[in-house]
Amino acid sequence: MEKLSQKQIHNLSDEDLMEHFQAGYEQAFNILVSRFKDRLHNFLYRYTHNHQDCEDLVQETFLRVYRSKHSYERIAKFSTWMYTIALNLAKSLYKKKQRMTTVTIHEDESDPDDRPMKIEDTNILQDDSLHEKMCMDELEKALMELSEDFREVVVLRDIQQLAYDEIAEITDIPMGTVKSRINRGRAQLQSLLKNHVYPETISA
Amino acid sequence: MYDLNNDTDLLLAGFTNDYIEGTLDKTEQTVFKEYLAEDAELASFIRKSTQGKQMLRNAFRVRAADDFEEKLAKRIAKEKQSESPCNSTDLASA
Repeated sequence: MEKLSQKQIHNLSDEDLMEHFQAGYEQAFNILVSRFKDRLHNFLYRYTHNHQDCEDLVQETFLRVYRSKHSYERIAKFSTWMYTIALNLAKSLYKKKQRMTTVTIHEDESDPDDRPMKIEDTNILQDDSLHEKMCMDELEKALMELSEDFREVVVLRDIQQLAYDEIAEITDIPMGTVKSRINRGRAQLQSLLKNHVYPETISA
Repeated sequence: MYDLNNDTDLLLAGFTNDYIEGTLDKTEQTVFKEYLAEDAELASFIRKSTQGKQMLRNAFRVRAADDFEEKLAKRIAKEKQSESPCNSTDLASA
């Protein structure tokens, strides 16, 4: 495989990086981790609401990517393939947790390792009003109240900003169903939060 | 009649979604707006769904801990140790 400079490596597409990784270049994998670690945390946190579980799931996702590198075929986008792995792991954990206890978005006081997740924009929490913090908390609660079918597509679309065709592939459901569920998931969320005033939605 | 609680009417669900996302072309948008003027239930549903979409902008973003990559590298190294050794080429130094 062609030798590349650092700059060239970092400019490669996800799929090109995966090909280099398949050819034995470990740094390509490290770049993929660096590109996707935050996005996966942001996605999987919506299933766990627990720092440690979320981090474990993200680690497990990358480990599976690492182990199964040769099962990836370029016909699929790398992100689609990886999100499918992540979603399957999240669903398994979610089901396991549901069997054990009710999932809570609050810190698990019995778990000394559980600590709040890092919030990307720390200024929001430090400077903005309590109202905004409450809105975010209520939103997270409402997301957890959505059925799994709705939550997964809404999170993939409105939090992860994935394209519809990619969501359909990751969830393995037809595009029309994806759209229908996103419509209904968003509407349900609005109903759950209708008593909370969101500045952006006042004029909507 | 569009069943708002089912996945059955996928064509209308698709139009509804594209309308909320703003991806309908001008003609489709005009026709769809005329349709909405006659269907208060669907119009109300669209308002709710649009507001739900806007609310999601308030979702906080979660990111990895600073030592995430270090921990992952350790796990991979541990796994490699337990397997048969294999050489890999470092792309940067290649």
